[in-house]
Amino acid sequence: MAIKETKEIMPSTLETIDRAFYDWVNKTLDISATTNRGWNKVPLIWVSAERSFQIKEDKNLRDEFGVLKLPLITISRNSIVKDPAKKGAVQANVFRQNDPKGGTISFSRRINQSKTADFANADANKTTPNFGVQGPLAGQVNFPFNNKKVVYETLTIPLPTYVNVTYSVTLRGEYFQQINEMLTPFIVKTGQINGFTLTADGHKFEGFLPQDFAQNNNVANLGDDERVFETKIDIRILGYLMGALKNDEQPKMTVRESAVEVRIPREHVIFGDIPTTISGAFYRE
Amino acid sequence: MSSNNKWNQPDQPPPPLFIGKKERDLIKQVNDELIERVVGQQVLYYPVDVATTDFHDLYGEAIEKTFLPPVRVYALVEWEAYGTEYSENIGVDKRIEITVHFHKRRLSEDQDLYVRAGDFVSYGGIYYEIVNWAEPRKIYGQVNHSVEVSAKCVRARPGVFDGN
Repeated sequence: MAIKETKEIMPSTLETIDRAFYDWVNKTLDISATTNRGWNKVPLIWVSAERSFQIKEDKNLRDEFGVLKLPLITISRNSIVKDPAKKGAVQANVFRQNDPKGGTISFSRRINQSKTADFANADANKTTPNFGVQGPLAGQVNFPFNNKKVVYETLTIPLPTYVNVTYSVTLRGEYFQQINEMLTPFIVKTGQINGFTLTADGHKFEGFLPQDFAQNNNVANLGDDERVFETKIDIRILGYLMGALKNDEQPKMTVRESAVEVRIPREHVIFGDIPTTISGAFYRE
Repeated sequence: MSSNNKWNQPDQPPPPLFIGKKERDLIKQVNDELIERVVGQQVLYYPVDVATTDFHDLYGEAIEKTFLPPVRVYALVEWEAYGTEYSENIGVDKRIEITVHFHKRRLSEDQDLYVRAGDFVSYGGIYYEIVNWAEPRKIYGQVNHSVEVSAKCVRARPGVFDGN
């Protein structure tokens, strides 16, 4: 029996892009900084959390009075732009198949062993030639011959729709040294170029760092405020979406089988092909 | 220290001259009575339980929230606003706000309850989310003794919290 390889393919959604970027900052950059409690990993916060989650989930983020401990890195998603001029590998638009199955791009293909064997056996089992019949006419199943009727299963997926998602990463610290330590990985990680790749759920996206890293410090005009160092980095991610998930009428993935034989059925009732007087008698389909 | 020095350092600092424990207890007693017998307003406090609520691991939000058993609390409720407002690009909407003044000692000492932003209260059959809170006053400036916890609450839409 043929062994079928199983592979889970996750859809690419906005959440997938968000997660890819979060993981890139959290795990790939993995930023730490010097504090008065030692060299510690800087907490990373997704900004949109509910109040109760912010307050109660991670007590290490705050002191006993509820004041946030710095340094801190936050991420917020600012904009989503579908720009036809900024696309990825799939440049042309290909419309979906206009049926309930949908699907646009062939993703993988395999032979349907069972149905291919059925067609091969049907031809090998024949003894008299017919139109379209191949094989040795051996009158024997499983007789080997060069079978041309191979049934393929083709996996198709929706066309990736490219979006440019912009994130703001805010680095906030109490000291200039902390900002230096946090900011440097963003600058040097990609070398002399400003592009990088990031992955999530088996999908790969491209990211683009800005040329400017805006400093929002209040040290030049401190006044009565506490000394705060802040640097904001706007990073653009070129991601793609595949299908609209639950809002999509068509599935995220479709399996189609190739046609190996054309049959034109006859109308049996009109032509009187079905024997009505003899029970179980043979008739030609 | 010479023996002829008639001034000695006490072992413990003396209590405040006029506001000691007895006076603070009196303040608590009067406030308890005022809030529960005279004012008589009460809210149900729903603490969100982060241990059992399935928060989204990235976005930190939960469409379905679970909460600890609600606690009835007597408090002074200040009705802030109930009126229409125009939501840009959406249309006419309504906003309801209240400020709940909790009696600090009654809440933390007697009911073992602590006000947190993001928790919910029910008042008059409407659910509100605590959006911020403050302890604006101390008892005669004593740093460890607050009079009240003043929580600003806005109406929670049914999609955010419905008490079920």
